[in-house]
Amino acid sequence: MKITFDREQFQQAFQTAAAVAPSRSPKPILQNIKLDATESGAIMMATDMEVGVRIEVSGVEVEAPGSIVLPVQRFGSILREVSDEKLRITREEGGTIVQGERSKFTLSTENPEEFPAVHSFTETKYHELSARTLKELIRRTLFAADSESGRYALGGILLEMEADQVTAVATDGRRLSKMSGPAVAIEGHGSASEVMTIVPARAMQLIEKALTNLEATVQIAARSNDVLVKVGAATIYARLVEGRFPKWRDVLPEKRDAKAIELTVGPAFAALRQAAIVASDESRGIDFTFGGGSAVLSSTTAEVGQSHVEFPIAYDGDPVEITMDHRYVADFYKVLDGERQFTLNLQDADSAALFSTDDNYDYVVMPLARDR
Amino acid sequence: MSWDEIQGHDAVQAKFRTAVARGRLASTFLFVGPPAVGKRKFALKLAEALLCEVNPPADLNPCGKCESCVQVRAHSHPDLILVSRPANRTRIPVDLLIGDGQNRMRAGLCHDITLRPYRGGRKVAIIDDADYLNVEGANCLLKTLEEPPPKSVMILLSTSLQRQLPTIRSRSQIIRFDPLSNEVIAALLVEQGVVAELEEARVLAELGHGSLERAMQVADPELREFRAVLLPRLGTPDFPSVPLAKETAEFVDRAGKEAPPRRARLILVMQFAAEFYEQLMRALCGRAVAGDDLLRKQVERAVPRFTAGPDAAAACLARCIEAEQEVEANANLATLVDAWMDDLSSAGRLGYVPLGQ
Repeated sequence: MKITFDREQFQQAFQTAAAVAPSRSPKPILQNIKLDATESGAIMMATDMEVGVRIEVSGVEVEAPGSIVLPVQRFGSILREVSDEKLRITREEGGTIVQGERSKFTLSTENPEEFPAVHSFTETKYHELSARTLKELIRRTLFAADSESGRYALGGILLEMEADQVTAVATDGRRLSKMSGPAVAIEGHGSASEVMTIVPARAMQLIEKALTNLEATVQIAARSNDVLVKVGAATIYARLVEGRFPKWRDVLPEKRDAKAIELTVGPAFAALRQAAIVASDESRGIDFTFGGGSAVLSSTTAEVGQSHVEFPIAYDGDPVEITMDHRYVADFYKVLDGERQFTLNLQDADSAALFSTDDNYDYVVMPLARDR
Repeated sequence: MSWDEIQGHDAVQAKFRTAVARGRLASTFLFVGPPAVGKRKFALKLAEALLCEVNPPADLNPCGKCESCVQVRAHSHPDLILVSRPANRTRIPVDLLIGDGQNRMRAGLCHDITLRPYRGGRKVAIIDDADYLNVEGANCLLKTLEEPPPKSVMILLSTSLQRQLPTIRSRSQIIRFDPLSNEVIAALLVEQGVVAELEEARVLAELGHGSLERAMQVADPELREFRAVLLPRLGTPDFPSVPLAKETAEFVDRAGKEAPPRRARLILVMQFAAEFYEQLMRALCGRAVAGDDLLRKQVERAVPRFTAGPDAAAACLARCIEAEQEVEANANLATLVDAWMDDLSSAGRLGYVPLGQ
């Protein structure tokens, strides 16, 4: 293999790929980036077995096609330290030779066939949606995923692909976050009913990070074992999690039985933060009382003290009370803008609270027992 | 590439072939057999066969050339999870099973196996040295073993059923690996260049007791010399234990500066003694004696001297096995050797190990 490339463009792609490669791994070959050079172009791949990335690199002249693995640490340093505009890589028997104008490095190399190839995006059936929508879907659900318990299926985000929308759901058993966004199914793509598309939280984080240009269109294809997301020149591959996701539709409370309280994120969050000042690790419950045009948040912790915060609201009906974990409520406020309006649907102190916005975002929090 | 490189486990191989062909492969296997009889090699070969993308798994005949086979051999296959005891640890850390502190439940074998297959086939996890799972580690596995994720195969390698928790034993299909025949070991020793002559290899194989690892260890001439000194001394009940303990301690110290090689050498010495008492016990009961020339000769010589009868030999044998466990439990080696030798000396005369004062 023999290629010449533009150092800056190459470095940019290399850094993106390097973010996926694990810094420590029982499989040392994963601490490399694989480069496939063909007549039609060059592709970089990195994977940690759970998530993989594939990037088409521009500015590469391929003299002799072939594959090579480049050690992330050493080769990354070469890209950083050498200031030449162009560099040349040759793979020979003895190793990888990297040549600049006045510098030359020989790196020992491993067999590129031992590197697990990252799947390419060759699907003809997929969903198309805007990067902005996907980013929002991930941001507003990811925090509710449970990546610390042994219930691995809850450590991911469930994606449901329908004809005109994509729905993301995450839950840890105590709260559930669900958001739908507009999308277009190409050639009838949809998640098959028998396989659940549960994407690990870490993969979702990576996809969210990769969505830098919000105006772009993203293609997403769910397959039986993995999901592929194509963003510009990069394809992100993520293995799915085995297991069953809870039937989340059964968890969403009925809105018609509940009292609808209209609120704005900013003041509600400010009041929550004040009320939570006296909360502790053992006592996280905040008592919420809505009614008669005001909302009262109060909290009592034996060894710390008490808080009582009031703010005016539009709701003027019968009073309704509920106790919720302040961190769960705060998580909802954190992903929204301060000016955003939302509806809090409350039935009684023993039923789940439903936070909804008008852009198809629902967040369910299970209440805490009142008599503590 | 066939199974030629794996010697002596044709019956186990046939069993797997039938199971895979009928689509009745279990999800958890516990491979039990003496060290170095090829359990790990067998497990890796099985993984290669199950993951090969050219030949169907039912053939149990990996092609050895496809990307999947190459990656299994390089241990880099994404659907192959290998866990073994790190060289500098005495146990398998739970980090390898459920992730380290920062990534608890987000990494490690238990997490990786719940992901769907990377290449679309099966997922194979091999826990080498399952003997070194501590209770926490073994418990981490229980949930995974109880509800194995679809398309997954987990193989635990162990030298003894007793070293596994009952909860693990009951959740796995147990596959026994017999000791290798002396002929196979001798051939392997020559093949791997441990010794040049087949004659010498046969002698080592005899001492190896069906384990290639053991045969390779006793290839060290110094060890065999010490054995030739040790056995005649043990053959006298009530032998002077202090000088022999001193010599043994010195011999053990010569194994190296670090503790692990010293412990390994002492265990070998204890095994030599255990074998001697085992054969002596058989001889005292009027049974035939097996073993190499030195062992047979020394047993013959010791029979008339052990007036306390087979009980004495049995007590000594039990003490040797106990001492071996004490080495593994990190006992102080010098003290242990003193106590062990002293007990052997008295037990040979009394027929039981006297209680300490």
